Amino acid sequence: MTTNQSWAVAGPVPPAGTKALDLAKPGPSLFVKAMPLETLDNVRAALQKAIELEHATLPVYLQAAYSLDDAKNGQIAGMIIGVAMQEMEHFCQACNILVAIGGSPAIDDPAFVPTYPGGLPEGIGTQPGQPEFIVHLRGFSKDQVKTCFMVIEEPADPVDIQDAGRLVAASDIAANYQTIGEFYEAIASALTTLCETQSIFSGTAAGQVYGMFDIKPILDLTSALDAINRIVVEGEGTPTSPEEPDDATMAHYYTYYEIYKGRSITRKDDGWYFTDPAIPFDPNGVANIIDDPKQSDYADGSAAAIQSQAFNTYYSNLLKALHASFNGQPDRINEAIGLMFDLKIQAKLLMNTPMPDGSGKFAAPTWQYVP
Amino acid sequence: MSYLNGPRLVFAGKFIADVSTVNNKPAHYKEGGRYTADDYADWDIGYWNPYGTGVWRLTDCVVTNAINADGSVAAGDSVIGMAVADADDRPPAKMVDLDPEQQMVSAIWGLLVRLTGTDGRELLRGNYDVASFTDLWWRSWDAGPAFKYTPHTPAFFGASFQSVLSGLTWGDVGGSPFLSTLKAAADSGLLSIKFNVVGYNAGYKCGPGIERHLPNPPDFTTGLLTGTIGLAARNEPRFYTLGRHLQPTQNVMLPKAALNYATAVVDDARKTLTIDLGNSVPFETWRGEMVATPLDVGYLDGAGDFQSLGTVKPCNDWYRTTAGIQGFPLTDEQLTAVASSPVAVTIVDSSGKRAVVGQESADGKVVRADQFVFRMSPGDKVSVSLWATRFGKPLAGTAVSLAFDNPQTDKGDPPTGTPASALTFPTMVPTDGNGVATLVLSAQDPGEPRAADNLDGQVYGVRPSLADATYQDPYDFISVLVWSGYTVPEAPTWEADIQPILVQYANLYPVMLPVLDMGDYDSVCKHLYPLQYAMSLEEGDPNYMPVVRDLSPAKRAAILKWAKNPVRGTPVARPPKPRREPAVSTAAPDPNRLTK
Repeated sequence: MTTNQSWAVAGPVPPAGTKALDLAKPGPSLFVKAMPLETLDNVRAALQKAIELEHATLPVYLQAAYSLDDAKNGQIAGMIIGVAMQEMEHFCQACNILVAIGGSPAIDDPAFVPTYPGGLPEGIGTQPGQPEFIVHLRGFSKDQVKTCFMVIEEPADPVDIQDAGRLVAASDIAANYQTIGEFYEAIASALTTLCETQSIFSGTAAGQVYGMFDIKPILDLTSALDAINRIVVEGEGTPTSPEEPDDATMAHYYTYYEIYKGRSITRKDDGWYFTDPAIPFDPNGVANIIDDPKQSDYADGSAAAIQSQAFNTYYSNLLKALHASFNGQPDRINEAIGLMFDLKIQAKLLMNTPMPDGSGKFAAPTWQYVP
Repeated sequence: MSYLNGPRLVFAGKFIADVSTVNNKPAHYKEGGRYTADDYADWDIGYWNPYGTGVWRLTDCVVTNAINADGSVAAGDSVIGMAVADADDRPPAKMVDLDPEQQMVSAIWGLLVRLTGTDGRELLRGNYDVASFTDLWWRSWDAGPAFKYTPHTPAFFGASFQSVLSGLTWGDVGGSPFLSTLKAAADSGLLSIKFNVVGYNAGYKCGPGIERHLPNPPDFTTGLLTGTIGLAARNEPRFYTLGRHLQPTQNVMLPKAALNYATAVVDDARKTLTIDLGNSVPFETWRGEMVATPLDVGYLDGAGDFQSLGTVKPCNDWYRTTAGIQGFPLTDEQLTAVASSPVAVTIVDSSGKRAVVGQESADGKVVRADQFVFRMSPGDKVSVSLWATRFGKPLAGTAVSLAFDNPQTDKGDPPTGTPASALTFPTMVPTDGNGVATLVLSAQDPGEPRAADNLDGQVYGVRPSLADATYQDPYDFISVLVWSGYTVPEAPTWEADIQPILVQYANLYPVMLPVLDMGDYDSVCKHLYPLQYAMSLEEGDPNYMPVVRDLSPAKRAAILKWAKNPVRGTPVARPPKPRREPAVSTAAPDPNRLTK
């Protein structure tokens, strides 16, 4: 689906010292449909969308991470899990901001859960004129990193752009946010504007989930803007650096770029370079799982069906626990943490369960909601 | 007051018991390296479900019937067809053995039971008090056609669980007259719950000299379940029904037994005898038809002759809609006679002769501990309520004798019950006016009698009995795990103190390894927060770790202390544990003992 041939294949790992000239965005691009952001209700609705979007990335990232054998590809698995953990943090931050302005995050709803293959949640889709952006639920591959993860995480303005031209006309873009970061920045801007004329923050930490991930409660506009800034920087880096400012962690887009190219990226005086250490990928260390699995792919009573049903039950219970956490019972977040363990154990079990069709493939989590 | 009195609902469906099986053999607890995937694939180490999660769940359970307080059927009530489900917003329940040397009291921890309407609305939720199964028996006579190869032995067995639901939360039950009545009557804040499990699928038979068949058959780790939910009183046993207790006349650990243990209650006011045969009637085949031999329920008169009160005609539909419970109206004469005569169940055998297949003892005396499984640290004392009855009525002012009856061990396994001095109790306790005797068990440090096998502490069994009573249920004893004394180190380090404790979990529960390797410093450090959280919980919490609840509070304290300052330290050369002399079993091994 790519339009830039230099992106067509990951190719050999670039030698250390190579200038990362092609540290550029591929097409297609992910866009967030513009939403009116004038009233408090508008902002609450936008935050609900942000929550849905943060969540929507998790099944695809975790499916890939869980498919990796930690003994053979532990570094890559760890990098993806690291991104996923930040998405969870962003999820919590967005929920807290919504709670702080009197909203109620809606999480335990079948509509909350994406289906695969499919687009991301409603309103977050493909810009006219672009190839349709379809998310597949797949095991790890460099192609999945390139055509899915890097599209999701694409910054507004990747640094060191070589092939700088966006693939759509400016007029097409005007009505939409080009990236998730821009979407958040629009929310930040709307919050700032609203605060000029009214008091929108409850001023209390009650009902928020904080402490873990170093999340601070949202008490006022300043803390809300700090949280949004952290989300954007962690996700996209800054316009001048792919690194998050406070540490040497690469923003998500560049983390995935490192995985794709198989080598770390470091800044030098005259630009960005591929350096040591290499990030090795062992193709033998990936579970050969089926693409876009569904519960109905597993015969009733089969081990895969039973383990998949269990996975979906824990996944749904997790969403319900999160819903309770951000709707008046913050302590329930610990139930969610416990369920994350059950979920991962169950995913690994499924990925070790052969499909009975003789294809040599293995079952995989279907991430479906059980009411 | 129990599920056998007053209004009750009946439910049926399935359960999942994804138990893990590396921990079934004491030998696997030994130190000395790590198991590999090949080891787990070896039945001798992995056994039949090495990657079990320990999860226990209710699935596909629906209300099949509702019985009013007067014994009539609540026909047409909207409760019928509702779902009986488990947790929807927290981790699933776990099934846990007490110890590798006492696997006959597996308990369900952290089970939430919910009743939801067909529209998905929740009408009731309650927490199941941790309870162990009892009255395990060879219930499915034959494998039948369902399996391609001989199934593993647990397939043939059935058992029952009885407990209470507490912390009840009721939804809007206005649409169901039955539930409205149940709610109003449940003023104790408790409900009783009893369910029977049968038709379990533990895969194909594995063991020495047996060809291993994989993959596992469909429905692996699932079983069938039939149960009831009814009223419970605060001042009565939670895990046991005060009533009439019938014992079988045949060996129920062998196939072809016609009846297992059963419980009945007589309601004097309603002039009714209600018997629970839910875990008592066998099946012809695994998940096949119930044995349809009619069962006459009655009593043995003064001359020892059977007097019938009515007949049960077992069949699968009957079982599904009654959970095996049936009531019989009594005349005044029958009520009087039953009050002091043994209740009995008879069949007419193939030769046309009537045979008693289950009965109360002639003396009618029964004693049982309500809670019958305990975990104790040195210095702990626990009170155990012992309930003594005669023909179902409290046996006041009588003496209950107590003696060790330690779990039997398999050949080669370490002895249980030693040193006896680590668990002390009076040899006799009197019952009060309600027939209740309070037994205090005191635990002392047993030392490390099973150190050579790397098993913490020791397991004991204590059996209560009444003088001259002839009733005998082998399951009616108290199981106790007494942990070894352990001093929390001043400054615990991973290498010296923590790894030796945790590596056992990594070896025994390989399902965790892709997520958390408890034997690896980096892996544990990476998951320190959730570990600290889970290990700090009350052990009844579904999130509690270790799931198997076999870590002593002292060792848990050491881990939590270390977690605050997770120092690695330097590897410590540990002298090899002394070899244990081969165990000589104190009792002849039971050839029918089921190793789960």
